[in-house]
Amino acid sequence: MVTRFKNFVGLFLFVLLTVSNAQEVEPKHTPLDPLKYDAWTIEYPPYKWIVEEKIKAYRVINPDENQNIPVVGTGDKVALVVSKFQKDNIVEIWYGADGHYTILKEKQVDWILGESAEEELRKKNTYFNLDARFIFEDRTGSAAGLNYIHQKNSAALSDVQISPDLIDINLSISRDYSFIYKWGYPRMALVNNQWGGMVLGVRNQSFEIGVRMPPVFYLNTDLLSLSDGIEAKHLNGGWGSFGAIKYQSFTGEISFVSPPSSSKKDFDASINDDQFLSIMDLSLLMYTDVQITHRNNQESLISAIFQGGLYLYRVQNYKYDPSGIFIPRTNTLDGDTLSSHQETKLGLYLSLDACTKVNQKIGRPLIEAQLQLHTSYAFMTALTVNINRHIAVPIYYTYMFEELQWAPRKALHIGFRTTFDL
Amino acid sequence: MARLRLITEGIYLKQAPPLILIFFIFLSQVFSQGSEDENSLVWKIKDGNVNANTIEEYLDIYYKGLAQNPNLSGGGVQKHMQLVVEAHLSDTGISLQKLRYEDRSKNSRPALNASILDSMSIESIETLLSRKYKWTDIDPTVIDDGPITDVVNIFKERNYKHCRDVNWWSRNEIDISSNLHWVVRFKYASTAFVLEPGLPVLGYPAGLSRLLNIGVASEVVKAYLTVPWKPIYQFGGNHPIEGAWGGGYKFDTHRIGGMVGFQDISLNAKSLRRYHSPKSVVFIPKYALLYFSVTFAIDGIDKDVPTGPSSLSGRTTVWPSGSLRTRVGFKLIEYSHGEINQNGSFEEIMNSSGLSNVGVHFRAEYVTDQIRSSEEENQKRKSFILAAQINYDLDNQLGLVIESSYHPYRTIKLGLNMAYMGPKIFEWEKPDGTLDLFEWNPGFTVTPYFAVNF
Repeated sequence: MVTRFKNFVGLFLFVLLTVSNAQEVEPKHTPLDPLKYDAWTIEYPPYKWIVEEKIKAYRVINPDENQNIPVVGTGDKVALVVSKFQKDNIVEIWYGADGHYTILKEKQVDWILGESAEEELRKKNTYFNLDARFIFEDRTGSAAGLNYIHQKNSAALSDVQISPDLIDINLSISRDYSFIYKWGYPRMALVNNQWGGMVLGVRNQSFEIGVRMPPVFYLNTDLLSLSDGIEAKHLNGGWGSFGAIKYQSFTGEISFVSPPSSSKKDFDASINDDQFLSIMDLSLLMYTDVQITHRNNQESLISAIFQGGLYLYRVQNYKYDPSGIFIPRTNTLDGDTLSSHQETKLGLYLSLDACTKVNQKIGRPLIEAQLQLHTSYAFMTALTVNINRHIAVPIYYTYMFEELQWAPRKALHIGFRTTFDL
Repeated sequence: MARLRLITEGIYLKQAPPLILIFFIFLSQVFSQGSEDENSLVWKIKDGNVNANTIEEYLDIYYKGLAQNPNLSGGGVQKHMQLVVEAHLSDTGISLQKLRYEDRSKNSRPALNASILDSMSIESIETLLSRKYKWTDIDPTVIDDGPITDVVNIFKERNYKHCRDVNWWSRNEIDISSNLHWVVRFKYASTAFVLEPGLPVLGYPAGLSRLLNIGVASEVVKAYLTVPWKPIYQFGGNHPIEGAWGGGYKFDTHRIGGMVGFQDISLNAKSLRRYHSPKSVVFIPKYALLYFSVTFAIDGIDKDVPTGPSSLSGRTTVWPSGSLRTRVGFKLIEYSHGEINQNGSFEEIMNSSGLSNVGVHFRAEYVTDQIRSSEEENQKRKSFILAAQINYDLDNQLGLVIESSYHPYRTIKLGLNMAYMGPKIFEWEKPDGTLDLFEWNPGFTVTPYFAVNF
């Protein structure tokens, strides 16, 4: 057993300084019925600017209302709400970000936009838009917890998020897009550097895409890690890609790495002569969400989502030869012989994602928990304790059902997650 | 309002600029935001009470003034008419410049007498300028001599999404093509069933590849299953990439798009007949693409015609106005070369890796504007789509794709796709230490098709 304590003084100072300047959130949401209303965000900049300019003009014309009608901020979401039964009016306009939304009611919309602008904006199918689920979110009771789980799984919790497996930074020009730097893949039970390599990319609420590359550096946010080997086993990296899409309750993820190029030792800077390498050259994950707890239960202490689907992975085993060639190998470090240099596994992916009631003051649940099972491959449980809005301590425990060359049989990671707004 | 119009029309170009110019301004436009100053506001009051009350007060002052000055002008306005406000907006506030009324019998917008307006109560003017009533924008450029219409839409937005949609899925609910490119959009959900032959975005359309993607698409994302498939017909094509079972995802927004996918040839049926060249199989086990896009509005070109019935104003369209969408990105494609053994299994000889897998992608799509004036005109619409695409790999493999389609009628589409993919050399070391190579030459293909749209 090896215990590793990491020095996080610099990171803590940075976080504490940021946190001290950050403001707490008090969400003010009036939930609408999605059966009666349609809502979407304007994703086409010129149309967003129409709203922005109209609000600016209205503020100049009616300065006494400036306090209630702020300007549209850079990167704010602008969402329209239209009645499904009476489509000739915009019922509400929401603008803002991260739970801070200004809501313009129907009469204000008429006054601010004018008829012709309203008419153009109502033509949803003629410009880029995305479903605005947050309009219908109830931020109380079980619904708040379900929304929190959805957000945690599809986007950053704040402008900046540093987790044990990723950094996610909202782009200032559009909060719909985030820059991501990932080095772990907990959804495949590969925490922290066990995945090997890293991903640089972008994501928004519908998709994620990035370049997988050899590890340049890991931001190791482990406070403590325990594993059952002298040296924690992990996969090796390489050049490839990572992509994911999300559509309503469906999520699909693909990750691949091309085989190591011959005579290129610098393909993975961490490798040594005679080193055994294992590369997850392909992984596929598809699942769908099912809400377990009822959305309208105000008294519920727990919110939970079940995820079910399929996973597939393929690991290629190589040996780096001192002559500078990667040779497919069928033997292990222990001297055992494998039937093939390639390990492929296909199975069911089952996950239970739950959290306690969202604390309205900090906008986070006190405890988040996840039980994750990849049949015949791994079991993982994750428990995250939110100390406040900005700091959380995630604890991961992974257990592999069989001895693998590239992952410890059992491992425990106690990490550190911070989120804050810019 | 001119400002808004400029912004909403995006980059408005009289003629298509050279490609190199597009390339240089490309990235700056991808995430750019416009800024322009404009201080003039013009709007029409649609609230009957505000119009009537204002006109009533105006006429009271007018008739009092008329007793003193029989030549006093500005008395043509009537209580039922609609007022048009011209105002100046500054950082400190708003001021009234002119007040007009719409005289539909004369199809004009005369200005009210400024001296009378000066005599009106401050409350009335403030009410007018507050815009706390129903109103609509008026195009300031036609305020003096423009026609009065019931719908004055100053937001003449170029339909960039239309340009995106025709290449992402279809503008129609059903788009069924003879080359098996099918799109069926479900009426009550923003999803569609999609069949797409080949991997055209990567340079391998139907004639140069033997695979079919079967998927589900939404406005932004697509998920698909890839199956081996032989094109129903093709002309040309030398050595296509083989298809294999697999899958992938795509996404596309106005700014960025991309795709990630894989194929596993070991899942294919053990039949040699299914392969184009069993002894020299090339397929793509993994691929990814990420691109950035910008759309430009392109003005049409008209010319005078001395005679002929074709045009009301004696002009005919040489090049119709439309939208040009350009995409620049990079791609990662892994190629696998091998052969099918006697058991029908694929035996890999070599797999491409490293920088040879990296390439760049450039695509320009031109889609003529959709006529929006009437459904009847839409039915008669003759529109076309042109697309040119270049894919270039760092190992010097060059791919070109040209796609064109023409709608003689709205329900019929005729198309012609052409594609060329240059040779690629696979080189590997044999067990005896000597080098061997295989030159793969996909070739040139032409695929005409027709499609029906509903």
